This record gives sequence, C-alpha cells and structure tokens, in this order.
Amino acid sequence: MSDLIDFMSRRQDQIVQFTIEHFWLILVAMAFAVVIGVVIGILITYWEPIAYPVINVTQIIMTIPSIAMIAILIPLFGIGFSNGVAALALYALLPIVRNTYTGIKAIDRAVIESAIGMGMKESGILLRIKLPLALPVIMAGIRVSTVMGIGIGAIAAYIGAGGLGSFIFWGISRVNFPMIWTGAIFISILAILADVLLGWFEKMLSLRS
Amino acid sequence: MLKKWGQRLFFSLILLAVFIGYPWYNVMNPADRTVARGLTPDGVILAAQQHITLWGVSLAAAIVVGVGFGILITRPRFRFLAPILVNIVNIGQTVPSLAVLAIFMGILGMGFRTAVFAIFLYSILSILRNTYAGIMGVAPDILEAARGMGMSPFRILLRIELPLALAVIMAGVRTASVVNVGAATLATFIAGGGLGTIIVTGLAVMRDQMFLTGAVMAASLAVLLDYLLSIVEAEVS
Amino acid sequence: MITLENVTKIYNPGDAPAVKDLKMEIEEGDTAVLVGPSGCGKTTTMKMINRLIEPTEGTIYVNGEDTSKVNPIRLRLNIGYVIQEIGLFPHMSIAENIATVPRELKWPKSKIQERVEELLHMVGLDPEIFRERKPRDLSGGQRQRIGVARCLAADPPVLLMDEPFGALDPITRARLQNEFLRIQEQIRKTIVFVTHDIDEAIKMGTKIAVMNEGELVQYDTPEDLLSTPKNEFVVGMVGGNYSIKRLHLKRVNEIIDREPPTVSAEEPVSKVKELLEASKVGVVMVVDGNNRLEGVVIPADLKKSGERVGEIMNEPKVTSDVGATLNDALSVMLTNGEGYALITDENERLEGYITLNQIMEALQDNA
Repeated sequence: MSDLIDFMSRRQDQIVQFTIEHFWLILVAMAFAVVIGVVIGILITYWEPIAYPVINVTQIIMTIPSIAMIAILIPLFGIGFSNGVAALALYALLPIVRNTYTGIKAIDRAVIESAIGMGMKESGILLRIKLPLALPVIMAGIRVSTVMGIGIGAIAAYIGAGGLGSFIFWGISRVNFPMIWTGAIFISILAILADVLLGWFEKMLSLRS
Repeated sequence: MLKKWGQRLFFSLILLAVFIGYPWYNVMNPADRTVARGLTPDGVILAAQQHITLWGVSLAAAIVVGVGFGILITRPRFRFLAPILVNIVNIGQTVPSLAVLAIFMGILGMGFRTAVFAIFLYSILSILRNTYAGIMGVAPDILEAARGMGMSPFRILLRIELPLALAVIMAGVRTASVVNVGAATLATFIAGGGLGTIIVTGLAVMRDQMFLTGAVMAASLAVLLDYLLSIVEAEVS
Repeated sequence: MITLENVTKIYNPGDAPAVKDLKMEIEEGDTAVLVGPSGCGKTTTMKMINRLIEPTEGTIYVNGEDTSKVNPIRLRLNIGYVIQEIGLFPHMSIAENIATVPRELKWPKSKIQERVEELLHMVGLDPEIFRERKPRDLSGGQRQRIGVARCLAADPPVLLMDEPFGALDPITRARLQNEFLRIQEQIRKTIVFVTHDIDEAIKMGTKIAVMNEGELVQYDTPEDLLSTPKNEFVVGMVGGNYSIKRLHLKRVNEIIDREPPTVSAEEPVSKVKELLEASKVGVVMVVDGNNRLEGVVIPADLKKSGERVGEIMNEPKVTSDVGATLNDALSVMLTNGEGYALITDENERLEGYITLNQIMEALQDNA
C-alpha cells in the first residue's frame, strides 16, 4: 500500500500526462463517432429497410474483442494514435446509431404531425423537434460509448496510442505492481467519473424535455 | 420455419469456416520461419481451446451464481440487499475489463486460473442485474392471483417468475458472454493463455500474418458465440 | 360453511382497525356479497378468509376447521380466488392457466384435460378454439370467463371473488353476471363476493353484508335490506327508489311468457297476419326448426311485398338473455322504444317474451 502511494506521488507528472493522452484519445474518437453515428442514425429513420441491417452490423462490430479489432485495423491505420481513434470510434457507433434511431422513432407521432400541419419543412422538423426530443436518449448512448471507450482506450495503449493503459502494460512486463495498480485505479476512476458526469448531464437533458 | 433454421445453420457454418479456415491457411502457408515457429498447429489449437474454456467455464459459473443471487435478492427477506448489490454491479461494470484483470493479477497472481476467476466475477454483474430486474418486473396482479390460488413461493418462482423473467435473464447472459469473450482475449496479458497470445506474439515480432490470424480467430469466434446465443435468446422469448 | 368470529385487523398498532370485531355466518350455497365504500374493510375481510391477510384477533372457520390451524397453502388450494385484474399467466395457454390448481394438487393428466374441457364449456367458450390460445389474444370478457373457470378448476367448495367484473364495460359486465348466476345455479358453491356496486350486490347476492369503516353495518337478504334498512348509512348506500332497486332483484324468468306467438320463415304471410291480430304485443316472432330466433314481424311489415314470412321480417333488436333481471329487460325496452323484450338463451333459442305491463305488475306485488 505504501509502495503504491509512493509510486503515485513520484510519478505524478506521468499520471497527469497519461490521463490527458487518454482523455484526448477519447475526445477525438467520440467526436468522430458522434458526428458519424448521429448522421447514420438519422438517415436510417428515413430508410426503414436498411435500419435493421445497419444496426445489426454495428452490433456485430461490438461483439468483436477490442484487441482483435485493433490488430485487424493495423493494415489500415498502422499502430499508434490513429488506430486507437479508429477502433474507439467503431465501437462507439452502435450505442449512438441505435439510440439516435430509437430516440427519434419513439417521438409521439402527434407531435410530428402537428409540426407538419403547421407547415414546417423536414429539415426544420429534424433540427427543431426530432433531435431536441431525442437528445436525452442520444446522450445515454454517448454515455455508454464513452465509458466503453475508456476501457478500449486502455487496451489501445498496447499499440502505442498512449494513455493510462500504458501503466498496466509496462507494469506487467516489468512486474511492477504499484505501476499496474496505478493504471488500473486511474482508469477505473476515469470511467466512473465519466459515467457519473455524463449521467448527470443526461438527466438534466431529460428533465428539460 | 425450415427457412429460419436453414439461415441460422448457414451463418453459423460460415463463421465456423472462417474460424477454422483462416488459421489453417496461415499455418499451412507461413510467410517465413518466424511465422512458422509462431503459428504451429498445436499452438493454435491450444490457444483456441484455452480461449473457449476461459469463456465457457467463467460464463457457466457466472450464470449459476448470477441467477442464484439474482433470485435471492428478489425474495422478501433479502430484498434489502438489492440496492446495495445493484449499485456494486453498476460501478463494477464501468471498470474496464483490462483493469479488472490487472487488479486480480495483483491479488491472485498470474495464470489461467486467475483469469477464469476474474472474468467469472466480472460477468456475474450483468446476469445478476438482469435476473433481479426480470423477476421484479413480473406484474403484481399475476403474483397475487398465484398466491391466492394456493401456490407456494417456491412453486411461484419455478412456474411463474422464472419463466416470465427468462427473456430478460437471457439478454443479460448474452451481454455477459460478449464481455467474457473480450476479456478472454486479454487474458494473455496476465499469462492466462487464449487467442490473445497469438495476437500479442504476432505484434511483438511484427508479423501481420500472425497477429491477423489471432485477431480473425478471436473475432470470428466472438461473433459465432454471440450468434448462437442470440438463437437461444430468440427461442426462449 | 364460513364463520367469522370477532375478527379484527389492525395494520399498525395505534391505527384505527381496518376490520373491527366482525361476526358473520355464511351458509353453504350462499352468495354473501360484501359491499361498502372504499376502505370499509370488505377486501381485507375476504382476504382473511384465505389468509392472504392474517387476522389480528378473532377466528375464522371454513367448513368447521379453524383456518389458523390449517396450512395456508392447503387452505388456498381448496378455495377458489378471482381478482379484478384476473392475473392470467401470460406465458401459459388458456388450458394451462385453468389447470393450475389441479396441477398443484397432482391430478392425473387425463383428469385435468377432461376438467379443462368441461370448464370451458361451462363458461361458454369452445375448447377447440380456446384451449391453446394465450391470454393476450382474448378480450376482457373472455379473460374474465377464464378467470372464473380457473377458480372453479379444482372444484373448491368456497369461492372468493374480489370485484371480478369490475374491469369490464357495463354491457359485458351484465352479460357475465347473468352467466355466472346461471353457473352458480348448477354448481351451488359458497361464494364471498366483494363489490362497491350496490346494484351488483343486489343482483348477485343471496345475503348482503354492508360494511363501513371496518364494521359490519347490516347483514341481510337483499329484500330485507331494501325493505328494512337499519340506518341512514344503509339507506344512503342502497340509494334510489325502493321499487327501482327491486328491478335488480327479480329475474326475467320469474314472469316470462313462455307461449310466444311464433312462425317459421317459410310460412305464408297470411298466417302471420292472423297471429299478429291475436298477439298481445303486436309482434310475432320468427323462429327456425330449433326454436332459434331469426326475426320479428310487426303490423307495418304486412305492407311489404312478399309471399313468405322470411321476406318481410325484421332483425330482432329487443332481446335479453335468460338470466337477466327486470332492470336489464327494461333497459333494452327503453333503448329501443318498445314495450316488449324477447328472451333468448345462450344459444339464441327463443324462451319467451315479457312486456312492460308485466314488469309494472310484478313491481306492484310485494316482494
């Protein structure tokens, strides 16, 4: 225990640096995932026949173990940061696409019909009615993806994407237990924090609508 | 009806073909001696066996314990435990699997057994929560009718609550399975074996053929297992 | 059959009792209806009989046995129980639902199968169609019938029914009440029935227990309750005009005219003309070979062109069924603006008819 505290205080800078790297990895990946995911989610609400297959494909991606996915992406993205971003973004797609789709589909038909009746165009309806009303559900999807992404980001450290996972992998290869524990603890804290903060945000959004 | 099962058989066989065919091809046609040394038939088969065992044993045990405790906390006498346990589950699930494996390695040391235990504990979570939610979700008027007719609590559990909760429980098992396969792939990092070993070794010697073999095997196995479970889930709903 | 001796229920010490020192005796074959406002303790009382709620004080005897000394599961297996929401098991077929208690009692499979078939017939549902269906495929009225069938499955001597027809629309409710009365005539169970609807109580009960704030206010036959209400509360509860309430008491088959003027659809119009002139109500009924009601003929129809009765007859609108009360028959008459109602059985066979005059006469005689 004292070794651990000792280690953590000695390596403070490194902890901060890895946390920032990890954070950055997730931020970039989620930015891609949210934009692409929400767009796909919206598109399939207009095109029912491909909705189910699309969601199925994203679901299959989620079943693939992350380290295998990262390995498979190497021929395309090499090793390093971009691979990490690609892998995280791919995994984040399912919750976001599915939640965008179901969030929009769940809106009361009457609301949309009255908007049409008032003369709103589809683009207006989408931007001012559908998306705002679906926002809490979409936020839930973003939350789930982010928490998952933190875990995958930890694994991506293995192929040089940086982040807190580096502690775990270095710790294992050098049999340095305080290092391993530091990595595990901080990754867990990051994940729980993200879950709580984004959850609170999600609740605020649903209260507003 | 036949079409449905025909389709299922078809997809399962395709996935199985990839799972077996891809490594077979690569083992038979190594690009160089490093690959040949890394991808031996025995080695590949062993890794696959370990992987499936890791997944299967921990999932089976997790089902027993998860469903068992899930049922327990729905019983009136133990219901007070429910909020505590559900909270632990929610927090536990947020912790990434790599961290869980690393933490257990710190406590129990490296190796296959530690990996099985760590993964087993981790996958209890969603099964327990789903069992609890599934049973508590049974409509109260159904339970009142059953009780009033003279069914004992055990009979009600067996003939009413469990059958009605089955679909939800099955969904939890499926989630646990996916998590499980993923964690099994990481077991290699704590000397737990599995297909992750082929991937990691391949990465270490920088041979695409090797790590892709491991990756494709892990991926196709994961998809196949989830597909099979989805069939079970569909049949019990 | 059922005796409640000084039964009291207090939920939390210091609270007012939900049921206070209740003394009641229910004879075999009686239908005792517990009626009263929300919170009067009627459901609590009923649930103490099968120990879903345990009495705080007092004893309940069922068939001579002190219920507190009997294993509650065994007690409940021998008492039928229906609630308002019914609580049919959604994952089981109708047959499996009905077979629940027999299965718990380990009846042999063949006996269970026979019983299920028998019960489905009894509640008016074709076994061939309904046996394998699931509850979600059924209408509210059909589900309620299955609920009744299920509680009768093991042939218990006692039935407890908590607002069993409460969730139905008034038309279906009236129909099911009538059918249940018909069934009860055959099987003669001892029934404890809870309702908040005084009209239902008068119609269904052989004895009525009016309750208020946990106490039994009056326990009498419907006639006595109506003619000699004990206090202001009972008067308020019973409400309405005594005569009009009695319409719920008397059944159609007490005053029905069983010799209605009938013709078959094949007969010539001339025949019906004769009958119409002789008919008291100015209407002749058209029936088939099995006495099933096909149509009615009124004087205005004689002006229509046609050789046979079948060509000039009308749809029968003003009908009611055999178990109906005078109130049901009167409703039907008023709705259709006619002075008569045709009475049919569950297979649409003509039993007879009654007229407005007959109803008025029946009300003039004292009980």
